[in-house]
Amino acid sequence: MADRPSVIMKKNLWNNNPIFIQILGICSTLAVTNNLVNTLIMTVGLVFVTGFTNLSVSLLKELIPDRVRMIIQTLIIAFYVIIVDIVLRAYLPAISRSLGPYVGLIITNCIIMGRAEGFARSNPPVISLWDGITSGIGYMWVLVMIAFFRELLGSGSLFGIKILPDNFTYWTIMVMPPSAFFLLGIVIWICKSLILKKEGGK
Amino acid sequence: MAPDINPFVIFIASIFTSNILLSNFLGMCSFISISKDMKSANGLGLAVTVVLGFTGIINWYVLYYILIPLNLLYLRYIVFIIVIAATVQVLEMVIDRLSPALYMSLGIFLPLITVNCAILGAALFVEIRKYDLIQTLFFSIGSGLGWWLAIMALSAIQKKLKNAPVPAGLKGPGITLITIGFMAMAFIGFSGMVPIQ
Amino acid sequence: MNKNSLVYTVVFSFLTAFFFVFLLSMADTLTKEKTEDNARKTFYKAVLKSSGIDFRSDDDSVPVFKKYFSSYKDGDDVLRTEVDGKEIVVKVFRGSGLWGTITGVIAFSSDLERIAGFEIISHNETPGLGGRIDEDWFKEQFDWEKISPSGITVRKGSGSYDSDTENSEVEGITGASLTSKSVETIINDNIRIMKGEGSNG
Repeated sequence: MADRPSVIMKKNLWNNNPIFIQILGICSTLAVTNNLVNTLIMTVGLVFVTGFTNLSVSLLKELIPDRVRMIIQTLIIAFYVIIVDIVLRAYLPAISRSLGPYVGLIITNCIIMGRAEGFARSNPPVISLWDGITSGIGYMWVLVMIAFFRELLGSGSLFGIKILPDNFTYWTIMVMPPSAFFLLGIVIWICKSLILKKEGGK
Repeated sequence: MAPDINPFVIFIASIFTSNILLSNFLGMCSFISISKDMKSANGLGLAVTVVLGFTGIINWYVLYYILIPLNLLYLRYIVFIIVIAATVQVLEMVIDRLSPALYMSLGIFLPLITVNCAILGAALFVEIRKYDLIQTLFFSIGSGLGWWLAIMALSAIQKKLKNAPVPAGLKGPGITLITIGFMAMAFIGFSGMVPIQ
Repeated sequence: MNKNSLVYTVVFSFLTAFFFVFLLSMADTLTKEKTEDNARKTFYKAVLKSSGIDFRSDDDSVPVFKKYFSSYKDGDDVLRTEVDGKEIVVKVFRGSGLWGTITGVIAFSSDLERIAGFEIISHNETPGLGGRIDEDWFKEQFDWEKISPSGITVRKGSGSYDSDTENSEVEGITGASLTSKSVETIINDNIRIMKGEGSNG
């Protein structure tokens, strides 16, 4: 039995957050988190793909033969990702260039397949769409937060606009890959501690 | 036109300085879940390297002999992922026939690989950087070896960490990520080693 | 109908694949013109920005480009124009970065004493690291930078900005010293090419 929409949202945004609880799908997007604009565009693309893949899989669930289920789902995911890619190339060429191959890598983001398999396959379309979108947003807020700190401390700017004064010494490590791992580790630490505390208090 | 970069440099860079996992974050999902056990880590690392080598070359031929001549470049994501899935399937069958022992150690990891971002990622990098065949081969195998090295190192560290007093909230994935962060920093140290340009 | 029968599986897979591919080819065709248009404008904008010519918007770049570079033909790699009484030579370049080919334009003062501007058209460096060579603060450092006998030096990045246009040095990208080095090599190679061409008349 499917949960109510508000429960699903709470689960996807917090209790069962794809990133810090399920540790899924960090691959493709973590790489661009040293820049807020790129992160935002990537995660919006991901929300779109997750939502619509869930919707399509749920609509087609009675029709998809078991044997080719995975490959059909991959096909659906790839379809939406290519749409995102084509739209970016036509309307936001500069961002499309700076994201390079990472847009295509949304296909292998485990969250999408995970939600399609775990939710959409056994639930009605509208609620699946909702589940996909909220999962995507659960993913988005964590990464945007990481990107916020990485861009602020690493380049002294937010969305490409200089915020910190010129005499601020930039934290070189923040633009380098290791900081993404550290920040993600810290986010997981904080969130898990909060969840553990709540459970302990019950 | 292929960039004028020595394949050997690409090879070394893709193993060490620009490790596909530590600097491009590709292949994280299976990385974190498998790295707890050294034996599985080894099997998966080998499987990734083998599959990367094969799919790198096949995707290169598909790209330059089918997709580009037919002007179907926009379908590349779908085609690449199908090629990867098919290659994994064929490899699974071949290994099963030839060496049941190897199949026992490698077989269970092969299906996991289809959804490993590193494989598709490498194919997309090859496409966007316009590598020629030799560069593609060196890059694909180098990336696989780099991934293998990283997962082995991580699982060895995790073995040591098992008995360490880690705060409750940081246990599990949290400390793993921090460990990967330190590894990534260590790998950056290699950049002094690669004499590019 | 049994949805797990072989015939159904095959027919279904084919139909879905066909359907999606059809939709995609439509989307691609619809945006093709726009994409090609973008590529052309990207080139125009790079040339205009490097030579310091203002244009109001992306669309505006086309007539402005035509006005300043009226003799340009597709494939030319040296463009000449005059901006505010100064003669500018724009060289289209391609060279190797750390990962792949970098293409772009460098504008020179016609006596090759100074670089007037530097723009990137395409690159495949790692987004967020080497990819930052495409950020404005980096490219603006080249504006009216003096060319020393040994060319231009891209320093190891420390996150600051080099506003001195007389020292023939610019600040590199932090954490991407190899890409920064590649840019230096590309620029100096092109300075040599231009100088060689100048002496030949």
